[in-house]
Amino acid sequence: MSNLLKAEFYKLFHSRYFWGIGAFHLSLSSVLLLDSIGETSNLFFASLYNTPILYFLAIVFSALFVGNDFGQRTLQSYINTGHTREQVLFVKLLVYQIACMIILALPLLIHGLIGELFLKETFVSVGGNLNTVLTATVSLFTMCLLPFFFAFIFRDTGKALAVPMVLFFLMIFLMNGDQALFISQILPMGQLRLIALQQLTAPMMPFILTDFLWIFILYFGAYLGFRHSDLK
Amino acid sequence: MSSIILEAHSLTKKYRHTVALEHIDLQIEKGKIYGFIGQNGAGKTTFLRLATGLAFPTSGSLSLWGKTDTKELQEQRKRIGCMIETPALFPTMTAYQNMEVQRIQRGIPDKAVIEKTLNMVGLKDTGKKSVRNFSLGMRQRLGIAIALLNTPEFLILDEPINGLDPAGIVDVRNLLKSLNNEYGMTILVSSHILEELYQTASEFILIDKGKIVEEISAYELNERCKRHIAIKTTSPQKALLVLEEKLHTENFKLLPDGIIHLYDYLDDMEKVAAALSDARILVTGLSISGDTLEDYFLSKTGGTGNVKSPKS
Repeated sequence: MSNLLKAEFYKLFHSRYFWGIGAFHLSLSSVLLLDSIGETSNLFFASLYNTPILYFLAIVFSALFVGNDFGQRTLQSYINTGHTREQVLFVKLLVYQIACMIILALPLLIHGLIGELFLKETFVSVGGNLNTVLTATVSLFTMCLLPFFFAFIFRDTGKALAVPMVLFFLMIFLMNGDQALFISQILPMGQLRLIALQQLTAPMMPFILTDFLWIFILYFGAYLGFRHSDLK
Repeated sequence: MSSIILEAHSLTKKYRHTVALEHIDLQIEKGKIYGFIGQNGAGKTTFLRLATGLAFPTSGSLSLWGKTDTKELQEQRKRIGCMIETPALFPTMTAYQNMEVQRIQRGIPDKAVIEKTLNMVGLKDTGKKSVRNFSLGMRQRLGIAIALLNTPEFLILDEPINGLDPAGIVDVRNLLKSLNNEYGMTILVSSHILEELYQTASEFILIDKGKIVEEISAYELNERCKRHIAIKTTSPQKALLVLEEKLHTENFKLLPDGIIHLYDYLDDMEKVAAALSDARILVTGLSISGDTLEDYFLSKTGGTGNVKSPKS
């Protein structure tokens, strides 16, 4: 499995999509700060406020990094060469999650540090915010898993892009509807928005558990869908 | 140690509305080159996908080097190199980078194997050109190179000469033969191009509508395809004597069903008829037989739709 992991990292570092989407996300997130800074109390939260909107970039990355692997039969080549499906799924998930977390979280870290260093904001040093950081991390992780799940269910670039994209717009729509608060609490994307607006008050544990439930459903859904499926 | 590399027992694969493979019994023996022949939709690729773990059989069993357990079977696939349908390539990477991914995931420590294999398929000088800019033939060559990267014991190639130019076809043919000679590599090649398979394979497997129609060696195939006068008579032994004594030929064969295949006098069948008649031998059938390779396969697979010869 370590060989598979090394191969996936090699692919990731040679992936134009990863660097391109990562750079685009960082720049777009920075531009959008101009809009969100007025809504929130510091640069980190302002950046976090924009993360749900920029979630579509994670969906695009997933379709290209995972969906393309199915479409071009490169993922199938791992199975041809004797790796088990469990190993393939796990390694793909691990590398994809790391990449997705880097794409989504890098602007948060950079903007948080800029706020800390140049604007004298004190987000990082406040111990009480560790819970917030933890919840945001788990929410981001869960958000990344949704397009991954669809990529493994559909095993096709187009569907891996289209279905999560429709869901993305649906979630945005629901988060602005009558049940906005409730929906936002159970959707990882909504949780991020609530954290950014500091409307997600302690205890955070129910939200983290909700995210873990999502993780469990999505990961095992992907596993069950992939375990005995016929590949092209 | 058994010489059977792959064995299928009553292997069946059904999709929702179709039966792709129906009770396939097949053995692939070590050191031979097998040509897998069938029309589009005959079940060739389905069988290869089952063999390489991309799909699961509906019923029946498959073994590789005698292992049938799912985990052991998957472990044995490390000894296989394959290219199923289209080559599995990363279009934004170079040929070298594509090979490097495969080298890493297979755990091959020696990087020099990449240059060696690319050289083998004639892709050594592609430099920094992305695979997306490769021609179809170049992609095909790279797919073959990937399949050969670990010098597999069993090589499975599905339509490997698709998109190759005539020189490329000859290169691939020579490559497969040399791999078979030098390493004793067992090779299973599926193709529509019968003449090409004929020049490469030592065994042929004919598949049609999900069933194995025939397994035949190249020698047997040659014998069956050879043009001859087929003589049906009630006294075959007496007829053989006439052929030897009156027509002065021993270039014939008596088949178990009593039919004589005469390989001489193809242009003078009347002389044969006259000789037999003079000897008062009752001849019940006299005709020139023998298929072209293409005719033979089409007669077995029952169609003219998708099997093609470069000559046709």
